[in-house]
Amino acid sequence: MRFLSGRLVVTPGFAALLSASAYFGSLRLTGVFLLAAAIHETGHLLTLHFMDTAPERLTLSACGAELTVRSGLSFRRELFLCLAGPAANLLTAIVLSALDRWPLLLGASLLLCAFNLLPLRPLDGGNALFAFLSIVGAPERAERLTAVFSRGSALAVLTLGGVLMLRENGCPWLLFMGIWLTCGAFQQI
Amino acid sequence: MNTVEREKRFERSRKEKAGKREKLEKRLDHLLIRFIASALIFLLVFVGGRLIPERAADVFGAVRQMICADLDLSGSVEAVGSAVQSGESIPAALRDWCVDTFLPASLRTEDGGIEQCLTNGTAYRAHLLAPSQKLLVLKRR
Repeated sequence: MRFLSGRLVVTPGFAALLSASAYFGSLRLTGVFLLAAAIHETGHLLTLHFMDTAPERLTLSACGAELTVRSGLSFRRELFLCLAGPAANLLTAIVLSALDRWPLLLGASLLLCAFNLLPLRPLDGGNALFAFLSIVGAPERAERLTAVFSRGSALAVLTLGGVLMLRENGCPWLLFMGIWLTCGAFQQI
Repeated sequence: MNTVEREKRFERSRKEKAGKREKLEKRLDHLLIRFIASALIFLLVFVGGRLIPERAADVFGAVRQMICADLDLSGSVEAVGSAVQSGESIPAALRDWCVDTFLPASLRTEDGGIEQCLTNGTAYRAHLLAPSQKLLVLKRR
């Protein structure tokens, strides 16, 4: 199988993320989110397989899973590749909803799908937005637009999360998400 | 093949071997660092928690309280799935989850709070008004 030919890299950050989420959260929820993430990545890998392209590396880090593909894909193919992961999660959710079973996996799949469809880089939605804008217009302009939008939105989420936590004594999840998105947006672009 | 060419070839081969060895050593160092870091994290979280149970329990309890507050994340994720299975639309289920997870309780109950305030205000006014005036208020409405 061609899609299994790439390297799998597991970083200490991933070990930290797993042990922390299992310890502070629940082992069951961590396992279910891992399963949903595996379904998501399988969607990407299967699409790559059908495009007759091999992945270079799959990195599991504290920032989640990152699939690296050798360059040479057209923007149209890149768009399909980016949307394949969330589509796999959505398909799983639809099947589970029809079966009326495993609501936890259904919820995790839906949340992973929705989160990844946010039009911010380095998420799938951001990469899909870049590919779409590159098809419609010039890639340089698409890169610039995506960068500005991703950074601006990530900073807005970070600020909102900080304000909600400090002023309203809220849960820090939005702040964590803002930090993660800001790091990703400023690092990747 | 003359001596100079042979020397050059040997030199190239030596350099290649040295380069490969250097790469391998770097890779091994990298792997070792990763392994040590992973082991340290594991020790800190799991074994550390057992060696100094009381202190670790206090620290981890405080962190857990800060992160989760009163939120049951597992339950809320399951609620999204159950809502979709019971026929609720996906956007509505996700919106409810976002409100429950990200918004603090004070903002979440704002609507209820206003309603409560109005009810109390109306009740207060009704309490102050005479029975005839109460009728008048009802007619105005």
